[in-house]
Amino acid sequence: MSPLRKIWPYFGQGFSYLLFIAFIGYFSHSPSFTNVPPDDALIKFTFTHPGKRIKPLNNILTKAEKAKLPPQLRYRKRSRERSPLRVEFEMDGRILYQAKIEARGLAHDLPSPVYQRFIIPAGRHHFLVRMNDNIHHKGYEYVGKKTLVLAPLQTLIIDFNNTLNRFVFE
Amino acid sequence: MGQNTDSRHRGNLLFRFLKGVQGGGRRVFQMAEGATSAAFGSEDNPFYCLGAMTFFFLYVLLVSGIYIYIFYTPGVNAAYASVEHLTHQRWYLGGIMRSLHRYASDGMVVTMTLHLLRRFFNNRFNGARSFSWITGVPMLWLVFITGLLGYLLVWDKMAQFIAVRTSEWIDWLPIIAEPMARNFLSNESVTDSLFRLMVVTHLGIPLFLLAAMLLHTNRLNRPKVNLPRQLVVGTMLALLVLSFVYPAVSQAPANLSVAPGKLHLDWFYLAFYPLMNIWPLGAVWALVGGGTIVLMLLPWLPPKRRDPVAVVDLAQCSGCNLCVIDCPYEAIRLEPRTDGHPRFIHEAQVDGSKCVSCGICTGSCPFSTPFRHIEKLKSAIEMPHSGVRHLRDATSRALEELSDERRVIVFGCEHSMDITRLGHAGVAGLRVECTGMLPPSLIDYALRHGADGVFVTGCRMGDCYHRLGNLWMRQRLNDERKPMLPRKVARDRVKFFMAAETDRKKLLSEIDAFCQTLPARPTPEKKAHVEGGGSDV
Repeated sequence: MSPLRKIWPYFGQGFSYLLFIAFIGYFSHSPSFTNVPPDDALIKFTFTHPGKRIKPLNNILTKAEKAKLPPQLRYRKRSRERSPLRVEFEMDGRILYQAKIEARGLAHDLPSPVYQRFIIPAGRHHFLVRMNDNIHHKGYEYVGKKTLVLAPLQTLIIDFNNTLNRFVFE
Repeated sequence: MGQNTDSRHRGNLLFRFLKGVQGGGRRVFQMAEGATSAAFGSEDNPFYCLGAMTFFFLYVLLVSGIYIYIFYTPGVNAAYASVEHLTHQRWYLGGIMRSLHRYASDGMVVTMTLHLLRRFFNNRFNGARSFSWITGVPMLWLVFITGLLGYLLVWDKMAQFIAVRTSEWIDWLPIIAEPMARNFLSNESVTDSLFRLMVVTHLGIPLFLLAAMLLHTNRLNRPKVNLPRQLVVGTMLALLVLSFVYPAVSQAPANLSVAPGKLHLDWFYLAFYPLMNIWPLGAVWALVGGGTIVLMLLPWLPPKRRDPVAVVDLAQCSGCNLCVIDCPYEAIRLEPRTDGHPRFIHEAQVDGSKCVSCGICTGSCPFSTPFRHIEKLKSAIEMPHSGVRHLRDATSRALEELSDERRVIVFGCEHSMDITRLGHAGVAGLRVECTGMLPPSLIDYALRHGADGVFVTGCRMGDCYHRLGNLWMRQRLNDERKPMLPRKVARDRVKFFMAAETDRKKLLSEIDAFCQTLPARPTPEKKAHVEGGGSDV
């Protein structure tokens, strides 16, 4: 066997390893990915809020009526369902998001979650958010508005404070 | 050979699509494997050790991970600082260990994906093999979850991106009342205890993974879990070179009040994350979740080939253990005798759920000899549809059809090149399920009944469709494994050459060369020239 033929497999091995590490090395870092463009900002419109009960919890069954029923049925008789939320998010007079959010849980008795993200151009914007949490009422009980100047890549959180019952812009 | 389920499904559109995809993928792999075989040798070919290479990368990850853990401090502010200290202040060992950890984890994804694709393209995932396939699919999730947790621990911009996007993705499923992503709204909402939890999970899942990998190879005889030494050295050196030349570093520290802009993603782990910015999150779930379900269901999609399993003839079985040792799927056990035989104390028993009907047990049974004078020729263990009698009769028929100066029988594997249409004068091709099912005495039989030479070919060495069949055959022909080729058989009349579907030219030239070098045989009569034929056994 000629010396070249003896050496050839080692070249082949070296080339294979080179190809392997080049592949790993490149795709481990590249190509780059732009999550949010450099001149844009990110808005997260997010909160969780329990809607009002659709029916009041008390006065469904009297104590005597409850006593006649087995324990699991006493519990079932109470409707714990909450109102869905109606929310609207407006930026510079343009509606970006409008939805009816059902309460979570099998019995629809848990808070309704809202989580939306928007990528918008950085700069000065006027925001208006509205929410209704009672199915028996028309219109919006909670309204928040603010004009802000957003820096590039800034993250703005629009949340709802359930203690103060108002929207907050952070 | 046996029932041809392929022909029954030929009209099925899904079957044709699957076959087309498998055929195309197989050819691409075989071309790459041919090139690497030339460099590494067939038995140390990296493509034939992808599972073992995945194990190797896991070992590298465990060792480098333990070292990194010594210096890592979990915590919102401490995590990034400790990783930076390790990378830059202790670059000579800590930085290299970090890079090894990173690149070994990427290598693991690559070898794991190639391993999965090879199994699919080569149709090695159904029947008794479905156990390995089904246990393998959840491991993909374990690897990805561990990898993502590892990235979170650095708590840089990429970690921030992964944490937020993964939470948003999980929140799409209506199972959690409070959105997980709300835990990453501000820097204050992330706590040190979250990091401690992530460390424990990042350390715990690989232990499950190791256990799952052992389960994955549980039904295989001699599973290939140890990488050949030359590949261990080469791969380790390659990882070290990469770690020195292009060390893994962190991106800017995480800051939840500033959105991550341009990111240098690790595409091996995060390839589908950019889709979350383009597609609805439900569509990404459909792709990833649906893809997982399809992978899990693949073994049940058509064609569901199921040939009859091996049958033991207790009257002949001596409990010699050869078939038990040779079975690649651990489908045969040696059990106490049930027929009260006066001399033999054990018998072979076949587990039908593990048997893939490869016939390798027939090749290993000492009773599989075509020279026996019994009314109905039968071996102590064989496939009902292709036992030693079928092999003998097919060989005799092929020899009768050959009438050339030189008569050569080519035994070929059904999962490699189709050798029934070679077009060589004086050469007859017989296809068997696996070359390992050929009893060496059948070669003696062919030579005694008029063949000038016997050529055996099948899958490339190290890549047997039935895992070990071609290795056993080579060892039997080289007098290294029982039952051996009878000593009286002239070795220059027998040739063993392994070739894949893409090696057609090479195989034809080997057969040509073999026919040319066959010594003349003093046979008194030769029949008239007839074009070489072929048949399935």
